[in-house]
Amino acid sequence: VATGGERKIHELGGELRAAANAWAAGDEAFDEADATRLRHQAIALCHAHYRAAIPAYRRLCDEAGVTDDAPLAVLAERCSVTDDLFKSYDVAWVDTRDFAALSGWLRDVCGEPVPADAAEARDIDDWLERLERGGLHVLYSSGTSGKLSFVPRGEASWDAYRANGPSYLMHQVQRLGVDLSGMDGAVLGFRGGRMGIQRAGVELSRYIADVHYLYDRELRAEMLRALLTARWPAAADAARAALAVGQDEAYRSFLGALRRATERGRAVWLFGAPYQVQQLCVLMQAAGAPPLRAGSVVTLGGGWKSFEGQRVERPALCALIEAALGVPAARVLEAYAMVELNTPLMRCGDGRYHVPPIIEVCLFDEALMPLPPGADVTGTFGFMDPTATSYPAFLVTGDEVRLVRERCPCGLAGPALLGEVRRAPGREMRGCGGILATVRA
Amino acid sequence: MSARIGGSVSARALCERLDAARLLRDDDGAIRVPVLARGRLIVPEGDAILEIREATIDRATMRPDGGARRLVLPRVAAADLLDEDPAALRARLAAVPFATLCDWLDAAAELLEPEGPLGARVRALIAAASDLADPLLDAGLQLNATMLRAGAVREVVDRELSVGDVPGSRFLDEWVEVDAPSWAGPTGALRAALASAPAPGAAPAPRVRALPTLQIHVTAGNAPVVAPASALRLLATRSGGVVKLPSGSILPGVALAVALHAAAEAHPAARVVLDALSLVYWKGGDAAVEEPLFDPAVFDRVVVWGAPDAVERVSALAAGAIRTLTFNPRYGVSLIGREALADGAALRAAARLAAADVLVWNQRACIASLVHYVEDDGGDVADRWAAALREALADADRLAPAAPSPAALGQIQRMRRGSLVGARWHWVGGPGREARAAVVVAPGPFDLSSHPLSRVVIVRRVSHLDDAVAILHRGVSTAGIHPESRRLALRDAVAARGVSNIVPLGHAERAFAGMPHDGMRVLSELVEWTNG
Repeated sequence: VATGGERKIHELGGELRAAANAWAAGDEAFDEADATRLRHQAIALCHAHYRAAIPAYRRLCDEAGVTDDAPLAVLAERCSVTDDLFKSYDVAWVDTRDFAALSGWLRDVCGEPVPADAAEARDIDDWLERLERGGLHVLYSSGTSGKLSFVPRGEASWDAYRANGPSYLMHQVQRLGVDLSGMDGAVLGFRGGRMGIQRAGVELSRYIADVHYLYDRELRAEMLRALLTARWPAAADAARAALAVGQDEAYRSFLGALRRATERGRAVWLFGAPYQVQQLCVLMQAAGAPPLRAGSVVTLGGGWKSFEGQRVERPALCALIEAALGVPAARVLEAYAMVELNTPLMRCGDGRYHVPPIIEVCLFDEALMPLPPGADVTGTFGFMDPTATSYPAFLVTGDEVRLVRERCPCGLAGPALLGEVRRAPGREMRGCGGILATVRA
Repeated sequence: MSARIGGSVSARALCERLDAARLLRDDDGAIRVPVLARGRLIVPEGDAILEIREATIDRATMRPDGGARRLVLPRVAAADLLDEDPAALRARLAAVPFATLCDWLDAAAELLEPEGPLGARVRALIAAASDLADPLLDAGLQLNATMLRAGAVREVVDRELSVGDVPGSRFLDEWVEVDAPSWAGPTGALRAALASAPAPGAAPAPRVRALPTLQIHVTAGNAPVVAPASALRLLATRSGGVVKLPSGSILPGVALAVALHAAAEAHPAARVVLDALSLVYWKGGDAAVEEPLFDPAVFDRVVVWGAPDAVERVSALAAGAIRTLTFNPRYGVSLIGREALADGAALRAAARLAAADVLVWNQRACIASLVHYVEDDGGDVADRWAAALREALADADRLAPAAPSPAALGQIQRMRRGSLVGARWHWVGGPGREARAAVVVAPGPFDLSSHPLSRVVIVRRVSHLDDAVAILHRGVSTAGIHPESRRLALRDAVAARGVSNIVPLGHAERAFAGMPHDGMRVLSELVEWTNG
């Protein structure tokens, strides 16, 4: 049951989405000062709500001497959590199937009731399903050392997660002249699952009637965990094979779906990770497949490295996409998103990831202290997303970015990330002092 | 373009030559650094240079003072480091008497003495960008000179390469007759049957020799003694090869190179060893250097220290074709029995011992203690331990001040607001930018990949020390156990988990001549034991 404060936060969230819509449309009615006022009001309410509802956040505030009325600058400096919070559980609980303990941990980082029967789960996927049946949507992402991050959302935060992006992204889509009714969808991923990156494909099916998935099944967390925690190359190979069972047939079927769409004169909205799209392009060329129909769009997401760590270069990939799929670079879209963020940042044609007025962004220095705002600042990316009430969404990421505050040639105002997003230097710390990525003590 | 400078056995004259060549001195924030390539000092000239940027440190606070400087080094190519006739080189090295080697090293040690002109010059350069407090830095630089002394080298070699009662140095110098039972093997009887003439008498007694090898050492920069110590292992086996200096600690290795080069002037018989030695820097992962360098037709051993990515990369370069010794990333722990926590005085005394094991190279050494397992029946013992340890670390900060680097501060903040959000923190200096050390009572297991290695101790409660022993593994190099009765009782069980050093609390850094390192008698691995 939402508290009064929580209801007010989500009302403000709705107003912020409306503001984001106006901002993206280039509507003169968009008032940046008004959006900022709304956002700051929502952030202050979120902070009080987090303190009241999320035990881990309350402890952090208590230790930092932060009360309900702390100003925004203090919240950024002392109350921004890190992505590690969402994997601060004991991985042994997963290994030993102690889902009562894992549920207990989730209660600590979550502002929502955790369904009691989740404690009886058989495995991670069953745990996630039980949580969902009880009204708690938990997405996960894969991290280093094989540990999954779990981010919980109650209904209101889940609704915001699904509504925020479309509120401003549709304008970019419309500017491309996309006619969704004349398109088929093609997702280089699984039909379902709770890994954050998979959601984009699922959400695509809300707008396009006919969506073909590379794997017509759900991505199971247990299979992913087996891959991430494999200790030996042979075990990793086995886990990868299990995850991608039927891969050859899947790609044949995928190419068939693309060909059929082309034969029927329908453009395609293709979604995939860069290395997957690269692989598809190579297969298309090898098979002598025709390019996609004019009006097709490619959306990239999920990072620029393959599982094996090989980096895909954007210009080379765009050239390959144009050669193999016939989709020009201007129609290759990309978002900066993460499972902890309700509000993805879309890349414009001028290469900037624009920050919608829904969220407050702040960069941090190497010591994780907020950097003074400026016209052009480089540091570790942090944000406050006041449309998430189920978990502390004041977060410092592990990504180093360059943030500029000037009107973009594309026409959008406000802050934007310029250039490549890299892992922050502090996130790669290693030394002879005994750092084994998979070791706990 | 490369150039040579002359040498001298006088430290003062050597420094004058360095001044004349504008080497190893701070010229407006730039320090020109020579390297040693097969016995030649190469100086940075023209475009063939590499630069390493270092932040300078306020020695009072041990925090960055906002300044920076550049180390300017010559770029070396793999061809500069490879010998065309490895077999001939090994033979030349084997002919150098061990005593000659020791005399030369002793002369180099004299030049490196911290009180001398070269030692003081290098110390000043290192201190400007080192986060090690004066007592630790001075001890490290003194160690770099002391371990090079003839007596010390001989002691180590005689113990580490000894067989039976024969001191190790004899095996370097000659074929040593083995006083051991021997047998002819299954063909012995056939040989006798096939003999066309009466047997000419008993076969000569078996002999063994420790022959030099050609080695590549890829060293780590976590302490100023690592590169010199690794180079000394190469030299002590009277071998040749390449020592890659670490970007984080170039100057101690360069000081050794300069001293060895200068000392060879008065020790021409040792020149063969100098000419087989390279102490150089290249950026780790530079394929243009590394791929042609790791040639199994030339090198017999690879030694690699340090971070997981370096160990993995170098092991892959050796590709099973060159015998590789890895000093993997490991860490130390402390196990504190309930007897040590019985009363306030005992607890404080134990905490002060434990603090010493935390201070080892500011926790960046693989023997430094990162995690303390404290026997606690569910009371407040772990918190009392943390408070006492915090006091000890605060005192240590007065004796040998240290502050986390900005990156380490960031990592501490990440722990505090992420993986250890539920922990109780005991700060030295306070949270935030003021942090100088911290003791954290962790509610559960902790992922060591996020440890900041800056005098931060994770305290874990265990109901019995056996519970801590059960989670030890080969990644743990050193366990300090207190009190002594518990150490003796647990020693076999801890050793069975793969821990290399099981020491009294406070003695993690204890070393002795001939001591095994990570389960190995390292010098014995670096020579080619040959029957002849």
